[in-house]
Amino acid sequence: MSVGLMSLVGYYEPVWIQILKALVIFAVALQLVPVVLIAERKLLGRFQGRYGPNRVGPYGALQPMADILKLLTKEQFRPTTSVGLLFALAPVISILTAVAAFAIIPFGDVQDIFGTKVGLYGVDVSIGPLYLFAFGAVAFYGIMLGGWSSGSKYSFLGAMRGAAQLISYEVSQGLALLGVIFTAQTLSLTGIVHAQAGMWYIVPQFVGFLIFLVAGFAETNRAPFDLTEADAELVGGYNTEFGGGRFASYYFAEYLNVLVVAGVVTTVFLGGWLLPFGIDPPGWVDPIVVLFKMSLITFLFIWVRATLPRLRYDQLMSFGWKVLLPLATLNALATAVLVVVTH
Amino acid sequence: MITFTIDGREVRAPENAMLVDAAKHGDVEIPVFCYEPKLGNPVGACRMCLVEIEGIPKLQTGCSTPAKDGMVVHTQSERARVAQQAVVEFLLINHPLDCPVCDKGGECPLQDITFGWGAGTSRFIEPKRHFVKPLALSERIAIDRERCILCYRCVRFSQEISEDNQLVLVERGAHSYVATFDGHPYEATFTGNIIELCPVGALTSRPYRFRARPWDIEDAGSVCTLCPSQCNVTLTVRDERVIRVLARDNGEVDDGWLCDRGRFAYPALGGLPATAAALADAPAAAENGAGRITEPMIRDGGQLRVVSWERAMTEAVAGLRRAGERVGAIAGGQATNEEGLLLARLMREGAGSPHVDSRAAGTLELELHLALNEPRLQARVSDLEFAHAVLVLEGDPIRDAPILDLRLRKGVRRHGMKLIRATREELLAGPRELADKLAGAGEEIVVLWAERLTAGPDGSRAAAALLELADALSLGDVEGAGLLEIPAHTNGRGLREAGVLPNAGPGLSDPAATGDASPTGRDAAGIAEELAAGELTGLYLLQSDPLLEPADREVWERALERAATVVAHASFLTEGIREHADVVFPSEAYAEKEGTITHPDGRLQRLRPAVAHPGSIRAEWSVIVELASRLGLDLEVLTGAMASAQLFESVPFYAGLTLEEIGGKGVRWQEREAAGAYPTREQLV
Amino acid sequence: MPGAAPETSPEASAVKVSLWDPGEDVVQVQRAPAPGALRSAWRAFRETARGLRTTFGRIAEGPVTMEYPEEKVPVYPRFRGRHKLHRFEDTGLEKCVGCSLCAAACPADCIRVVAAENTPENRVSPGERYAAVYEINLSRCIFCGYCEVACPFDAITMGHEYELSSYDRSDLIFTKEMLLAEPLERAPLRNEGE
Repeated sequence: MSVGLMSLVGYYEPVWIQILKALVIFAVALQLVPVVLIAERKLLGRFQGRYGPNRVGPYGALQPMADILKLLTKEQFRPTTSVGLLFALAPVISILTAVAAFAIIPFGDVQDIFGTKVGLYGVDVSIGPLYLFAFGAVAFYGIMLGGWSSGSKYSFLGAMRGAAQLISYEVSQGLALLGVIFTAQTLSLTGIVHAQAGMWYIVPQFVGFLIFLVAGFAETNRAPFDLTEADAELVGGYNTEFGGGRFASYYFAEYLNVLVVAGVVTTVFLGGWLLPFGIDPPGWVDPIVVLFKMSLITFLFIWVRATLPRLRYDQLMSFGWKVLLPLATLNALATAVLVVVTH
Repeated sequence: MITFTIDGREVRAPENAMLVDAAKHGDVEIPVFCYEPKLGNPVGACRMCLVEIEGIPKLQTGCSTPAKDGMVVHTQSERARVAQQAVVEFLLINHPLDCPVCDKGGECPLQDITFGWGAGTSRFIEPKRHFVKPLALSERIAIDRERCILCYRCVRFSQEISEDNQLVLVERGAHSYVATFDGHPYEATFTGNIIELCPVGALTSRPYRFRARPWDIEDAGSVCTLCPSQCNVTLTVRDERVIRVLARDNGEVDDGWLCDRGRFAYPALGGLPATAAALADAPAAAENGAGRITEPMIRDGGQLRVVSWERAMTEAVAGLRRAGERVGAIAGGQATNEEGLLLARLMREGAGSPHVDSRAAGTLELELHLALNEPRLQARVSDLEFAHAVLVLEGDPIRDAPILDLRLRKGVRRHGMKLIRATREELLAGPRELADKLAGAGEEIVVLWAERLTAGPDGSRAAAALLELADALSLGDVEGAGLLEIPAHTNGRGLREAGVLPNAGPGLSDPAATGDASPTGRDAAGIAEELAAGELTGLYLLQSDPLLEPADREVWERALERAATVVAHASFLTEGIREHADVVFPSEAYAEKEGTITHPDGRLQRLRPAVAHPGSIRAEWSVIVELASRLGLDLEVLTGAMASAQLFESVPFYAGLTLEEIGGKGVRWQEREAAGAYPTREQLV
Repeated sequence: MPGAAPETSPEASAVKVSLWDPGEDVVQVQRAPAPGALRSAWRAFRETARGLRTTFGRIAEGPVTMEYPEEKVPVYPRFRGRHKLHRFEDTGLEKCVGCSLCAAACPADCIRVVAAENTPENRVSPGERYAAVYEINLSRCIFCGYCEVACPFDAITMGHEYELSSYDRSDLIFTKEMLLAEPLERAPLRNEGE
């Protein structure tokens, strides 16, 4: 495998580096989720004219720790009608796919660290977007199995909604990326970043950006597309019957998915680690740039959640199929034509 | 009936009814302070009832002006209103404004009338007259002379109703006040009634002083069981405690009055043993119910010790089993008919013993009982008032049944009734001669005789003489004439009719006829003798302490000493209970009881529970029922109402009665159809 | 035009069922953008942006939360909080004479008064009687202030204290001593018009 990789990226990474990177990425992801959690709650508070959590630790900073601690120490229980194995497996699938997707987000270019060339990403595959969608499709099982195996009608309804929603918006999401891929002429995410050296794709692919973002909201089941959870109607949707650690896993996966979408948007549309106006900082700044851009997208996620009400189910479907999909198709077609004409 | 006009309405009312009463037929209210029909003729002292009558130049007092045909009366005309407002203003010149601290506040006619007919303002700014207050008029009554509006009601009561002539008005004008001669305490038998009569807060009850306001309390109607008069009362209840007793007007029983014993014994309510002698003995600790037995007790090492109900029951059952048939039972006078019936069944059917008694005077032959109780011979209480003459035989109504004393005085004062007294010796000497003497007094003659007339060895002879007297006067055939017995105990008549007699079952039936037990039951004195002789070993006392009975004390002491098992229902640890009872069940006070009692004239009255049982007290009937079931006898009673139903079924001449029919005023069984089931002398023979 | 029932000729009206006229009940229904219309898409975009602006404005404004236990809401002078019983300032005697009028006025039936008589040795209030027991069950009280109005001696007034929660219901039965005592912590007061 390493030989194949070398032929792709042009350098060789020792196995221990890869293991180390995997650990670092997992650790970073683990650290980021609580940050996003507290950021979301604080921001939602501010958006609504209140403080948000401010009792645990300085400025409430330790609130997520308290929450996680509480969830993890709770009793593990399951309904008598549930299917035991799948009930236990479903949150694991969710969290696994989210972490796996995180692996291909590039946080910087290949750096020379103590004489070893290291790419600041988990792995740079030549089929980046496909890898993403593949794991996105698997993530759907996390929700579907969770909802179905609970043996509860609310959970099942939420899961069915989730299934339909994911399938509907995955198509638009893929089509939205198509324009970028046409322009960059590569499926490697680092390649796409490099291709944005002149101009970030948010400018030429603005429509694609919007579509991807909206579809991203839907894919992560965030407001205004949080119909799978819909706490007001389905008491929590697919995760109704989950508590304690398992519920925490779902929660964790949801926020990790937000980060993944933010990472992908950053990489694909916002120039990854690149800075505008030709500024070329030293290599260690790259991850900071990426994290900053990701935080902007995450902020947008939270902002939208604070603003928009949940869609009705028919609105969700008609918007996905009648607006986003045609728009994404048109965008891909137009880009293809332009690419062919200009080359 | 006449027709007159009041406030523009045509009203039909009885002729010569006072305008105040006649107006009520037309739903017109004329305010009054001094007017009270129970007190006799109106005096027109307060002037509150001034009305305008067309054709009479000056305003007239409605309380003393009889309604006449065609009269046109105005109570709302300008002149009448001005007069009413002026009277209220006048009465309030010196009336202090201390309603918040006055016990009458909230149930005060002066407040109501000021609100309804007063002007709302006063022109008097001068300082009010002041007296030292409150003064104790007696141990039980406080007088606040500032509040008095000089309506004379209390003075009239003292002089014309109870005729103790102690209350007088002294001084003149604004300085007048109610007092007794030389400041002596107002001590008589019926003093408490002036508290209820007072239309302002001038006369208040000292025990009730500041205990509650009218909106803090609940009223509960019941019947006082402290003496055979069985006056109807309203119990004032606050926080599950009876804190006041008021008269409840029932013309056929108490005429709206209540004696001081009934009114002020409430701190010890229910504790009070049946006889007057016991009343004196009732410990002062009984104040506020302290000293009341509220838990079951058994004798352990010579001392009574509080135990659980289970333990007490087990102990009682074991004792009764040991005694077997050699057990006697005595029901006290405050027991209800139901309790008596169930006790008799427990003894006759459960233990197989015929020795059941409730009669203090000893038992008579069954035929004499039947003859004395014969429906057509029975006089009503109201007959005492309207009879031509009343013969009081060997009794002292003011001690035995106080409220009858007021009735006799009323008869003499208002209806010219002749009151004659005779002793037992006079009766025994010759009933015919006595009848001859009485014959001149008139046709309607009521003989008021006390149960003790028939006590002692020649009791039967006295009873026969009494019947001969009744026969000679043909009391059974004259409406409004008859015999009226004053039993020694409150419910003496009811217990007799319920079958708590050694020689009679329920409804004065012959127990031999039913074959339940041998008819040779012994009466109370007999039980004592047999106990003392060791013939009987067990004794069951239902709210009775034989040592409190004046008679046979020595025999009873020996009897109780000798008895192996004494089971007692008691409220207080009186001597006999304290020293001799082996098992003591705490018993209910009348305010807690459910059941019926029978008035000496045959009126069944209903006791209703006004307060909950204190401590772990249980209903008497349920204790008897449980004892019976442990002895293997199912009395088929699960509720108090079932006990009553069983009573009405068992006594033939109560047949068909229901608690609803008895209601608040009671029902005389002699006036019901079922009275025809009364066994006649002929049937018996 | 909703509700405008068409005029019908008199002969037709005999058989015609007249249309229901909603009159004032007509509600303006907000419809989704018409499908495919560019203008509608723009409108949706614009309204979303407006919504985002509105929520962002809240951040600029800052929180309006009062952080309660540390920061207390001041009450107006006529605020009806926990009751107080009063004494005469000169003699120190209680103003309450135990007349129970407050209990009569109380619509929630939460006041219990048991009166007793003053004696020369034990003088509690100036009148003949005083309240031996004065209890207010604050878990029942609806703070209507009728007791204050009913009191003929101004002995009971509504105070300003509103921090009355407790871990035990029985702690909410305030006795006479508690009602006579000054509250441990005074509620902040705000002036009229502030």
